[in-house]
Amino acid sequence: MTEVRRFRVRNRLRAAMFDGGGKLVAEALASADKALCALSDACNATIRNKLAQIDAVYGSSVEGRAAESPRALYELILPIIDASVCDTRTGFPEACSSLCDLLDHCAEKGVWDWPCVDVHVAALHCLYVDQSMSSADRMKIVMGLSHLRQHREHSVAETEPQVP
Amino acid sequence: MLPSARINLEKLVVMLVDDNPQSLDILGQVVGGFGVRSVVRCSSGQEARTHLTKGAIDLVITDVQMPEMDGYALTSWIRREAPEQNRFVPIILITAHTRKSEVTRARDCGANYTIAKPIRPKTVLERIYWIAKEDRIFIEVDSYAGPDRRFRREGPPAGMDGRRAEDLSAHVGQATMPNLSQDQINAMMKPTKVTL
Repeated sequence: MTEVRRFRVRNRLRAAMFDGGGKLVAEALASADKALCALSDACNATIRNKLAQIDAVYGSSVEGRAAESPRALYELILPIIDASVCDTRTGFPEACSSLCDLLDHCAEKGVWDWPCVDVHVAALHCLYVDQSMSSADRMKIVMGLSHLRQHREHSVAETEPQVP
Repeated sequence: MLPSARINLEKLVVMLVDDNPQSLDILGQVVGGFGVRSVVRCSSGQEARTHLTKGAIDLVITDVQMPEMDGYALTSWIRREAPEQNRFVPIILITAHTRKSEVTRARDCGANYTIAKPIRPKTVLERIYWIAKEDRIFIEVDSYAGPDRRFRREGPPAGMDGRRAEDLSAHVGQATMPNLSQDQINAMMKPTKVTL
């Protein structure tokens, strides 16, 4: 039997945080939001740049895209999620996350699905570019991506050999 | 966390770890906005390790996806091998996406909380606030070192003082029937067609 050690440690964070002075939570959040605004242009440039890279390497009309690494596409999505910090509209980071889930599942099962990737990339463009779309419509797109992914995962599971 | 609550993060030494410089800038702007004055920026797990062996850190906020030493490995190293002054430091993991195969690592590495990117200041401050307020016990065992993961105590049902008289005993006695065979278990799990 492994010996379990249970103990309390001094919470330095607490000691410093409630030591008087400082600022109100509302003020701290407002300052952080304001500070993030300063990075807005750089973040948008990153998103545009990465989306262009995805189109150039993994676009539906690109020949030989099947030879590219799914992992590399996954790596291109992650900085987009990082940079969407200044985009407070719903849907865009969720769609990125859905594409990551899809790529993760593709890599796990070794079954690649380009049509599904194309739909996700098209949704990313749509959600990023369209400024006038309502939150409800944006969430409908995200839900659609989720259903598409689940349908695909279900289809892949059905074709897998069953354990006797 | 009430908007009118007062917090003071000026004296904290916060370590930020991310291999993406832009993400590091984002984190820096957020904690700077909270009032943190002393920030240690690291662009890799190795660099973070070097700093952690030198001086005391009050909070670590680290990205998960990093080459060579990722956020999980860094957290495990801190909990097992970092100098005593930093071994129990609060750690917040930040991840853009968690791969299915890494969920167990995320659970077992010993971090206090995990936050999904994109970073929202409110979420980050809320987690810092929770860490400052909570009184979690630390657990050290062969397979895990970190804050107790079973810290949500729901208590008895609403309107009840404690366990009800008719509740089953928490003691699990001797088995009264033989174990099911694998075939019996398989039969229970087998999907069957139902006519409605």
